[in-house]
Amino acid sequence: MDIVIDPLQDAVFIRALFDVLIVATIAGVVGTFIVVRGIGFLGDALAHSIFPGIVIAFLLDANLLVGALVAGLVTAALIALLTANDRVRDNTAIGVIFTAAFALGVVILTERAIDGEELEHILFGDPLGASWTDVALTAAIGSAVLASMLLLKRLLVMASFDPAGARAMGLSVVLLDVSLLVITALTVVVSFKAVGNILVIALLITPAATARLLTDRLNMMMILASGLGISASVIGLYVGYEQKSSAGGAIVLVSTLMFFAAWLFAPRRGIVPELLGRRSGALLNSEPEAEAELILASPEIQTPHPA
Amino acid sequence: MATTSALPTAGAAMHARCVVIDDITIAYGRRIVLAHVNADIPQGQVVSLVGSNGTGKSTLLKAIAGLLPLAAGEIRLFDEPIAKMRQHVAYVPQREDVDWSFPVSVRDVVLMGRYPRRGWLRPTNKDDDHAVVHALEQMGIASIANRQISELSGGQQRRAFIARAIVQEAQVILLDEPMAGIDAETHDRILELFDEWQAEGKVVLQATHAHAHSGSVIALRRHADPIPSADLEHHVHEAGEHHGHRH
Repeated sequence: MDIVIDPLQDAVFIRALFDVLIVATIAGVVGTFIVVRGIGFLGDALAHSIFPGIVIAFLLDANLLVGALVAGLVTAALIALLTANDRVRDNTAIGVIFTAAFALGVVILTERAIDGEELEHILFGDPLGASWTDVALTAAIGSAVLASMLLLKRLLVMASFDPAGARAMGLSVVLLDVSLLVITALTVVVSFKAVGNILVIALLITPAATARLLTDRLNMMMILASGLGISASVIGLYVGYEQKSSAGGAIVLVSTLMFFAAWLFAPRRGIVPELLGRRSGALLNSEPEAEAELILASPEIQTPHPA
Repeated sequence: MATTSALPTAGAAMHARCVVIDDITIAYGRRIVLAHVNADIPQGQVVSLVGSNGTGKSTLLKAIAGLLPLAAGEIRLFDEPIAKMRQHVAYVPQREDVDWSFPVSVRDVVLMGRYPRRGWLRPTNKDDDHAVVHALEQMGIASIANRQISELSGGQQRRAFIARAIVQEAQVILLDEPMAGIDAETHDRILELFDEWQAEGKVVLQATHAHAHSGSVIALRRHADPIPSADLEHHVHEAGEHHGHRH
């Protein structure tokens, strides 16, 4: 039990715990939308784009979250602006912007030396290095993200499911797309402290993808994704704390293990239940009532068991 | 580029002009799809937009739904610009325009039709729930209301979208290929509903490949094609034709 209890007396661990709990909660909710809309690339791009913001903030000795926030919002605005031109497809604009931003970060980085450990924290996360200011900022931005998602959820559903129908009813689908872009940017920004710039996308996508294997309902998927993300984060944090290794990396690995477990064993979508069901004819035994039956065949059609 | 002809059924009661398409031109970039299209559609009409592939049926329907910018001309509904009258227009998109794998229930899809009248960010209420249940029953899909839209057959999915149009209580209902790829029973239910809507004085406008069953016809053709096809001949009379060759 000491392994579980002892870290809780360490303020460093408590701050990290608060940080990852907030981050995992909103990453699950926002990630659900990213997964069902199939725009994981966008999340990845936003994550890379905040890199120069973090580097510049680091060099100016400013709060890294603030640097990430500015870079994230600028990127979101640029992508929205570029895709307004019909000739520039979404993915193209995203590809252009995020590689440019990352390159800018790399150039600045080679100009000024950054200590190896610091760079590692930026890239792979350092939840155990979160200050109370970080936690407060994360909580503030996280609440704003969560409130916007709850408010806009049904409209985002409508605009994603049937954009033409939504526009015909007078809904501004463009405005909603931009809102989702900004919400994703904010989520990426608050997540980078926990799992790092490179691994942010894993926290957004993996728990939501796992949840997708477990349910068909959007609300349930959001709850499950948050729950799975929280579990993975807490486990990963303990592993990182005990092993003195990267907590961010551990969080992502635990999350990935959950995904593969669901991929194999999910009740309806998993590989194993399907194989078992096929072999034993379990489906026929459990569901004798079919929805439809064959009632008529022309005389030309032969049947193996003539009546 | 195509020519249109709007022909009210002989003997139909003439109500107030409901939808007025006033000399509109629609272009994608520099490519003009439809030029100088004119049509006055009175209330209580079921209008079939017919024509072969690429004649701009969907384009015209989308323009009336306010989904496409007009290069010239204006579309009015009860003498108001269409942008002000969105509440009174229901639009059922083509199959391909919808993400059918999206996790959303049949009931929630139908309920979407109530959002605009309630206010985008306001919660729906009991009246909305009743309207949804009624529309689901009318389309014969009340028993599958809690299913995910992805689990339904093509015909059931179409019925869900028609139910959404019902709860919008719109004056003008636009449907893009509503009869494409559906079973006979769904087909018949939709036709019955068209009759009801017509009796209520609404305007139904459907883009269709199939031969129009009854009601009025707006025929579109490419300039290169011979006109009219044998199928349309009995609908299309010289008198109703508007020629739009100026460009």
